[in-house]
Amino acid sequence: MSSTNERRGAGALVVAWLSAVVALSCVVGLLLLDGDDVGRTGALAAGAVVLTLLAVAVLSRAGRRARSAWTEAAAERDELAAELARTRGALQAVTKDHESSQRVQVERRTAAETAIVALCRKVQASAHRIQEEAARMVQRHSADPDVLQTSMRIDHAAAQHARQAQSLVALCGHRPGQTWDDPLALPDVVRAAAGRITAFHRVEVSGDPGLSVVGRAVEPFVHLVAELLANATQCSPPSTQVLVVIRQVQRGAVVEIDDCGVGMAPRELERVREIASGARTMGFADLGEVPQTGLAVVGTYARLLGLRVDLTESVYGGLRAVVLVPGELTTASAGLRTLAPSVDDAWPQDPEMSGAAISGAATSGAGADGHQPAADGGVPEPLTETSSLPALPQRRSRRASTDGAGQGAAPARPEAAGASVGDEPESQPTAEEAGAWIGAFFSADHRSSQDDPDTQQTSAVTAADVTSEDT
Amino acid sequence: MQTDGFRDHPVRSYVLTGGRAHPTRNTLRPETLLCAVDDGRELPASAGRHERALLETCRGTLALAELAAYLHLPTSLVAVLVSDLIDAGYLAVRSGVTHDLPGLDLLEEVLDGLRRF
Repeated sequence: MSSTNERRGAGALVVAWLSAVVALSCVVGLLLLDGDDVGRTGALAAGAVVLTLLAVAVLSRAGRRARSAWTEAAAERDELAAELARTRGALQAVTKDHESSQRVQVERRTAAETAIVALCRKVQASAHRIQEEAARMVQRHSADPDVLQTSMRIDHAAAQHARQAQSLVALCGHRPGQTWDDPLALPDVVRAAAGRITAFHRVEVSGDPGLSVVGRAVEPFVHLVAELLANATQCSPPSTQVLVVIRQVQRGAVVEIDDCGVGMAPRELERVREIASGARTMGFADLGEVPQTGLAVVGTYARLLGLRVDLTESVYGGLRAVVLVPGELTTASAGLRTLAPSVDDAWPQDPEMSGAAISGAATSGAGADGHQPAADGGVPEPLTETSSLPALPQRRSRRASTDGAGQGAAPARPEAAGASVGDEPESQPTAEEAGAWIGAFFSADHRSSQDDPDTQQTSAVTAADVTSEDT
Repeated sequence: MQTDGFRDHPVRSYVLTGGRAHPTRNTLRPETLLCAVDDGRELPASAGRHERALLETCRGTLALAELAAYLHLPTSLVAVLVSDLIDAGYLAVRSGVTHDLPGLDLLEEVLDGLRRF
């Protein structure tokens, strides 16, 4: 519409200008003629007037048209502005809708993940209950190998069950449900991890740098190694071993897992390296139709613990997974918490080694139970070492509590032990003393035939050698 | 995880024995006395921590059941580990002394000692 108006306006202007030019030329002609021809002059003047009037009429009409076009344009502009405002409002509403729907979606996903975590924790807890029941079964029938065999199978199945459930928990970004208080030696970490995969007997561990993983990192690290071992065993022929080497490095410790499979194409390897190292975040949505949780879990734990995980080609042809455990997650390994006494070592140190010493040995147990400080004077070196370890079993703790006090009172032992007999006749000797008693029983007999207290140690060993042949 | 006396450990029993539950010899009883063979031989590097602990614990004479208690492991499991160590020559069974009974005077002394309790 506006274009027609413009065209019309332009046409009117052209006509007006033409009329003006023609009128001007008439006036000029009038002046040049100089009044010779009155008739022509009159005609020219009339023409000039007519043309001038025409120009005026055309111009005023063009002005009117321009005014109306202007009004129309203003109305159109207002309309467009209103439309723009409406559109903007609609757009804002849509954006808000989208945002809220996105928020709802995130909330829904979070809720779904929370539900998955809760369910998986339940599944995991029930798997651990099964393991506990299996262990109790073995405790109840502790001498029956068949029960042990059954328990092992149940335990193994439940351990894998628990691992799968815990993998889902990890993928939701939550910490593992199981926790361990004590540090765990690196070779034991690998063994613990092997226990959670199907083909645990194919895992071969070597190297013990004497380092342990600190308690809070034990479970995630065991799970991480278990996933790597699961991959390694699945991606290599069943007849081959999966070799795990543990070594100490400047910045902590390294666990290398080699399989003897066929490896991976370079592009695929690049992809899984990103996942395993934790560089690429993997959630449930990224797992694909055939979900492979293993390396995604590895990546999650690598980020959680600050571990460096890398996958490379193995010299054995398959893949090598390398896990660097930083120094702050490792600690020096303590001995396995067992600690039994090497009782026979104590005997040669006792100058009173005779038949009477047997009663002394037996009663020293009673002394220990009665918290007699002198009772454990003759305890050999290994025992002092062990007494400083935490969380000893119940029947040792009583003994351990007296160990410290007994150190300085060694010479008083025979008298104190003798005196304690009358004091607490109902006390039971501890296991070590019972062992000492039995050891003494056999070796004393042997010695009595030799009659030489100085060769006690040798004779005990000889006796052991002589009688050690198993039937 | 610890509930009323049950003590769980991350390393499962079947891993320790490679899945075997039956000892290589059927003569091991809970009361069988064991003693480490002190011939200066070291355990191979591949030996696990439990084997080492077991051997360390067994430097004195100890019954199988006691050994199991010290290691916090079931007796039947320790029997498997012990039988392996016996096969490898690191542990010896101190069977009942049938050929070398204690003298009469010693037995009387023991009896006297017991009566004093």
